[in-house]
Amino acid sequence: MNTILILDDEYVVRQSFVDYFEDNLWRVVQAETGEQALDLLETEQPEVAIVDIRLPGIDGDVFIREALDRKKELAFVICSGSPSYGVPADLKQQVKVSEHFFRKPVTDFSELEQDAIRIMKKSA
Amino acid sequence: MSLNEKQKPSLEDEVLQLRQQLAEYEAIFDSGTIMFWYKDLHNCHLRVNHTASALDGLTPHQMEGKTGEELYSKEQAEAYYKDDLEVINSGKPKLNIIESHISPHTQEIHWLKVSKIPSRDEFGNINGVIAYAAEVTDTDKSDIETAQSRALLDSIINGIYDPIFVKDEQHRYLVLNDTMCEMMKQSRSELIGKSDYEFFSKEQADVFWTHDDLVFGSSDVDRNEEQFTREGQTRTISTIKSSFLNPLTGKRNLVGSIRDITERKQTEIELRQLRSYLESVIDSMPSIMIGVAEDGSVTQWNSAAERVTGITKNDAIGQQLSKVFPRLAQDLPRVYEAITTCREIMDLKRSYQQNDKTYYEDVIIYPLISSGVEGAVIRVDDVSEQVLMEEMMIQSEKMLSVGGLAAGMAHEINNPLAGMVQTANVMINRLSNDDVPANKNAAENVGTSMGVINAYMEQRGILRMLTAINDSGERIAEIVNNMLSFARKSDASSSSHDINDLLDKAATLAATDYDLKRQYDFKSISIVREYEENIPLVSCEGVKIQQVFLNLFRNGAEAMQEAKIKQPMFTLHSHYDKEHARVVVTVEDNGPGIEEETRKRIFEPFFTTKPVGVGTGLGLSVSYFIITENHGGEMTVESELGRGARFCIRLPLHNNGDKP
Repeated sequence: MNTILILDDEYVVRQSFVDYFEDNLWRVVQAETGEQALDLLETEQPEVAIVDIRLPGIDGDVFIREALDRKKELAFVICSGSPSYGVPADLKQQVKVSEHFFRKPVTDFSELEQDAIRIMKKSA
Repeated sequence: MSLNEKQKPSLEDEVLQLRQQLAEYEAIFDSGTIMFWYKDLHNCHLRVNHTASALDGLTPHQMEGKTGEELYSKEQAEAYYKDDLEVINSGKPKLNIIESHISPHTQEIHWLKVSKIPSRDEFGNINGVIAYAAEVTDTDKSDIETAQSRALLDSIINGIYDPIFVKDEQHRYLVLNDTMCEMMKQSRSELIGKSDYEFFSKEQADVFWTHDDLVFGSSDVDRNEEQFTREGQTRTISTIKSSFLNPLTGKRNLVGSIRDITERKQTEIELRQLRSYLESVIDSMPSIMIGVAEDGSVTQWNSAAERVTGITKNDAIGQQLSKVFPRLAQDLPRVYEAITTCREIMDLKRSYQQNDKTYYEDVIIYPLISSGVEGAVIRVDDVSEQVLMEEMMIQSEKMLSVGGLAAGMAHEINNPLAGMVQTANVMINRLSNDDVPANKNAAENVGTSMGVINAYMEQRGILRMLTAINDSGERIAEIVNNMLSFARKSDASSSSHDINDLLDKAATLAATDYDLKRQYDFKSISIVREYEENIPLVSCEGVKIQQVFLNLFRNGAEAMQEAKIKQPMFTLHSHYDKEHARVVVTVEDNGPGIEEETRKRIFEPFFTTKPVGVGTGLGLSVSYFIITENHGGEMTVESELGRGARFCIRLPLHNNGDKP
């Protein structure tokens, strides 16, 4: 069973991801801020993370960079409610960051799940 | 017997003889009706005889030693002395001068016939003037009259401002007035008896002679305008010549008068130049300029007015304004008002309909006051384009404010929306998916099965409801996304694209597009391509431009479908506008066309003619925004009801923001 990290500050949204992935037999860990997520990585080893960008405290981008710096074996799929957001160039180059950017609301969870599996396998 | 042999007379005898001779001469000098006087070079009377002095009621002694000025009026003295000087200077006698003499003591006029001869000393040098005179006799009367009429004629012709001359048949000058002499810049004596060849070039004299001969040959009056050059100055003259039979000589003479019209000609030329200059200025103006008199008749009509009405200036002038420019008939009261109040009156952005189209014009009425003519000038400017531009500007502003709002709100809306939609998705999954073990377990735990739950959901339409939540949520997301397109900044970078390629790609996409396929058969629409080959590449965001084209295809297809057009057709046209360095694309359909009211608002955000739920009213405004704001281009639409719609997109090869 693979472990997935859901990072989103909105409870309702986070919960919908948690529910979906649990239903589909993932082990789910969750965090509502980037700082919390980084703490969590000290004890948990998720293979993939769904990352919201606009967060209280550090942004999703910053979290990803920090996690990469700490050599965590983790892949990332970005999912944001800001349609004007684009994946920054430095992150696009990372093998562990999906070049696909998912816009909220996610209307097709299975698409998101497929991409998470793809990037997880690619970077493994 | 020789003289020598004769006895030599004595000195006394000789003196006696001389005295006797002198007395005889004195007697002759003083007696008789002949007046004698003798003056020195300085107008001083040296000797005067009795007859002469008696005329002035004086003795010779009283006159001798006095000058002309001391004896006579200044005028008369000068006239006499002038004759004296002529004789002194020429050394020739001047005979039979008929002149009037006013006796100072009686103021009586005496007509005298005077002859003056130079007096010489023993060396032959002129030292004075000897004059003799007699009162004229009856036989001389006619001479006087002749002289008088001659003097009168001279004064008359010299008093005439225009040059006048008389020539004989040999073209020699017989008479010239002062002005003529002045014009020729010669004295009268130098001119008389001579012909034009002595004063003018052969070419000029030939012309004069030819016209002389015309009047000698007939009794006609010859009028001619000629030019001549004297001392480097070219003058234009108008001459009138006619011939007459001179009763004195019995020969035909020619009388001519000249009017120097150089200044008038010059003024005429300048006036003509000024007029044509003003006319070309007025004609070169894009504005319609019409002059109207107070009675409503046209007094001026420039080429813009000709162009717009198709009525020429000649046909328009003098006509009633209401007849030649009916649209302006309503302004006649304003014309009166402008004239009476001496103020210009403006009526701006006035709309009018023509060929189902709305045009706008500025009408300005200027009263003409300074010219002394009661009237006004009506100036009409077509400001349709400007009004359209303003409309577009307002539209852009609207979109920008929508964009700004959307950018700020998008995140706030999308997150709760994600809560709704994503939760609904999980619910659908949990209520209907048999493959999820957790679902199965939970159902069993509460003593039922997924089958039962599924059946219940089906019967109560729960899944349909959840799908409705999903779809609605998706629509909200789409609207928010579209609204974001209005935000000015675009992160996506431009690259070079062949506009014809983009058109083709959009057409292909339209043919396979799910939405299109669902509602219309795009493939049944024929597409005519009028592409310019090798069109320059345009620096743009290909995907966005493609989206614009797709949008136009979608709208056009829908409109043609709705109107049940039998042979729906798109005409796609592209060309390069070298002058403005831009590519022009038109997408034309043969659909029902667009109403004027709709056309005006067609690019407005949220403006739609579709039923609620079918369109968001953002498609065209997004397209408009992509073209104008993101690419610095232009997007317009032309349409007439029943004649299809034509969208025109002009894209600069390089957007201002681009780096070359």
